[in-house]
Amino acid sequence: MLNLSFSEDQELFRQMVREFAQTELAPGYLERAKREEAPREEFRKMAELGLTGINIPEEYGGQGADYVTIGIAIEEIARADINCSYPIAVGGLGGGAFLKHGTPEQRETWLPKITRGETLLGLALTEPGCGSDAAAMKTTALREGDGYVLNGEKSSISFVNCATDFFLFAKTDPKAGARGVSCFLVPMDAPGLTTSIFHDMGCKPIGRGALALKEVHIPASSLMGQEGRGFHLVMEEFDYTKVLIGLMCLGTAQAALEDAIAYAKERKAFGKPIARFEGVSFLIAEHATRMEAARLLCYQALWLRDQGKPHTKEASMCKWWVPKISAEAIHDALLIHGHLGYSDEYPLEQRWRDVLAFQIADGTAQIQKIIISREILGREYLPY
Amino acid sequence: MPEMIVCFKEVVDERELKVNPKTQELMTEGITRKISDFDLNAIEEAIRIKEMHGGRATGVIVGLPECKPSIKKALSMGLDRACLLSDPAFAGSDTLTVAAILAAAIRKLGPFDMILCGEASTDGFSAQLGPSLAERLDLPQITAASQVTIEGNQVVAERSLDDGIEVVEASFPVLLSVTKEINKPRLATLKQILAASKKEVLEWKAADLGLSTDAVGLQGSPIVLKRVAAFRMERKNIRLEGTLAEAAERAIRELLREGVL
Ligand SMILES: Cc1cc2nc3c(=O)[nH]c(=O)nc-3n(C[C@H](O)[C@H](O)[C@H](O)COP(=O)(O)OP(=O)(O)OC[C@H]3O[C@@H](n4cnc5c(N)ncnc54)[C@H](O)[C@@H]3O)c2cc1C
Ligand SMILES: Cc1cc2nc3c(=O)[nH]c(=O)nc-3n(C[C@H](O)[C@H](O)[C@H](O)COP(=O)(O)OP(=O)(O)OC[C@H]3O[C@@H](n4cnc5c(N)ncnc54)[C@H](O)[C@@H]3O)c2cc1C
Repeated sequence: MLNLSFSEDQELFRQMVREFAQTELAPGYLERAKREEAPREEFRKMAELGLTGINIPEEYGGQGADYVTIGIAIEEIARADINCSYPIAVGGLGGGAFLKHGTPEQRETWLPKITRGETLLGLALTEPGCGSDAAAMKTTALREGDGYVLNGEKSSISFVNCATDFFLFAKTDPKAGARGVSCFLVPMDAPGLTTSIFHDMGCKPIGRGALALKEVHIPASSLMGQEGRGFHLVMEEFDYTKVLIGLMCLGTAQAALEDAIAYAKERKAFGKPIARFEGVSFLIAEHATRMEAARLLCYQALWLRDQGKPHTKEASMCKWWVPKISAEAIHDALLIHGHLGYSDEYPLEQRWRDVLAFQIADGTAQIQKIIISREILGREYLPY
Repeated sequence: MPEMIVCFKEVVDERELKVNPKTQELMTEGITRKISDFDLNAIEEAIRIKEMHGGRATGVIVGLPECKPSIKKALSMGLDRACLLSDPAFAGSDTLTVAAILAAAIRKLGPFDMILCGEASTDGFSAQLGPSLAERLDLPQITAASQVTIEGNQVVAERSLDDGIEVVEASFPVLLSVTKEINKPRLATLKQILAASKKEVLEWKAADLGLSTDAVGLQGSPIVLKRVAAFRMERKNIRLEGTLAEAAERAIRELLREGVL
């Protein structure tokens, strides 16, 4: 049976998140977006509303809801401020990872802190020498006494300006490929860890930067899951953050399209509102169509995850396509605004620069298409 | 531990209202419905009192069966239960009649210490209902409350008036209508939304309240709403020419003619 409606509870939740996002986040988006400063106060308010622990069970202080519900929150927050939607995705990722791979002690320690917003987790996979081919990483974690010693460098990592801890990936077996990668919990203030911030064209509040690790000692209890299973862990969690990224971009594009619709009705040229010209209204119609299809794809992928069904293919479809059509929709929304769209006093160019990040972050379109073809054609047709 | 009743109303979201340019009438079809703004303040205040002093808060609403999402929202915020008063016979009720329906339901609900209303609804904005209800139930009433404190079975309230603040007190049972300044209504968390599904919603019709259908709705209402229309605001496009003195002279004449001066 096909049922494409959200539950009554989910609808009410969407309304609540929208009310919060439109009153508390939307008005300050543009001003915050220009600064390389994490929106800590906004993050705190979101945690208060339970948005950082949506999929975390109630026993750890979370809301105990499903992935579709996280999607709703992400979409609504991003419609107001895409940068503020990050901690929901990260909270969801952390929650999922601890529930599946964490020890009971790790769950006790971390999950309540994630729901309260005290812990903000970053994810450090990419290195200066490798991104798409993450298994080629050089950072090592070698056993020493009752712990590990980390050495190496991570690059292009979000939240370097505000994370309290990182899921950090390093090789416990440097000779092995993907199977040599393990996942560790590394506190931001670990001795030997230093950071630097990049200056980006968008998503500035998210503080993308680098982590240098020099003889960083961590206890054995910092290992997440099993040794050598780190790559597996991150790929499994990416299956869902890829969808959330889709909804982040879609929410942002939705805001831009709504602005364009309002503007097209108001702005007059040649004696009538520009919305009367099909060169304008068809653009709106086309983007609205694509965005509707994208939204269905995203929620279907989350629904599959909630059902415990495979969704690797669908997640990668969301990841390559939705950020792309969102950027295109914002681009046209900007053009519909004429010269005003080009001004940095309007949020259109800012939204466009922000969503561009997500055609790269969490895996490029090419990498997603490799995954989709693998799922469709079979492993034997992988290029390597 | 006060037993509280909160009267709240569902209204159309005025931000979405459009005016039919031909008839000047409001186009309300398909518009999002919401809980009237000040009523959110009344609900919030009841929840705050409950958090400080315990007790119970019951929401009461005269509305269409379609107002269930608003009831769910009120319960998610923290009301303990709700009572929907809905009957096709209620259609066309004026303020007097809505007050009669509410009074009958409140009597049926049993003893209470406080009734909280919004100061005025976002749509009708008559600010009549609270006072009318208080009269029917023979209660002291404190209108325009911008701050409320409970001490034992006494209520101390600040009233925002045009020229100052008045502090008044009354003992239970009492009716209060609250202003926007009194608090900032909370947003429910997902957990609260899920919990709200399990809360009790009573549904009563005219017969359940012992009201005859003649006494409610259009038949029972002395006031009949004939038409709701928006003001037409148009510029007169009058240009005042001549010297400054002449123009000023003419401006005064025009303003006198319009009855502005
Ligand atoms: C805003 C932002 C935030 C980020 N946040 C994080 C973070 O929090 N944590 C983290 O670990 N990383 C993060 N990243 C890094 C991101 O995951 C990588 O940039 C991404 O995986 C691509 O890697 P790369 O930049 O090294 O590109 P490369 O792998 O060097 O690729 C360069 C180009 O070659 C193409 N290419 C590579 N291999 C193939 C192939 N086999 N077939 C066809 N084309 C190919 C790519 O698609 C790309 O166009 C972030 C990136 C951005 C932009
Ligand atoms: C769709 C619609 C149709 C209407 N049709 C008619 C009509 O045909 N004839 C007519 O005379 N009037 C009609 N009305 C007006 C309606 O009767 C008044 O809205 C009602 O009597 C309350 O008056 P008010 O809105 O001015 O409330 P106010 O006195 O401004 O409200 C003060 C407070 O009273 C409480 N309250 C008000 N209404 C309710 C309610 N329904 N349930 C619970 N608590 C409430 C709330 O706490 C509110 O904040 C209609 C209103 C609507 C929205």
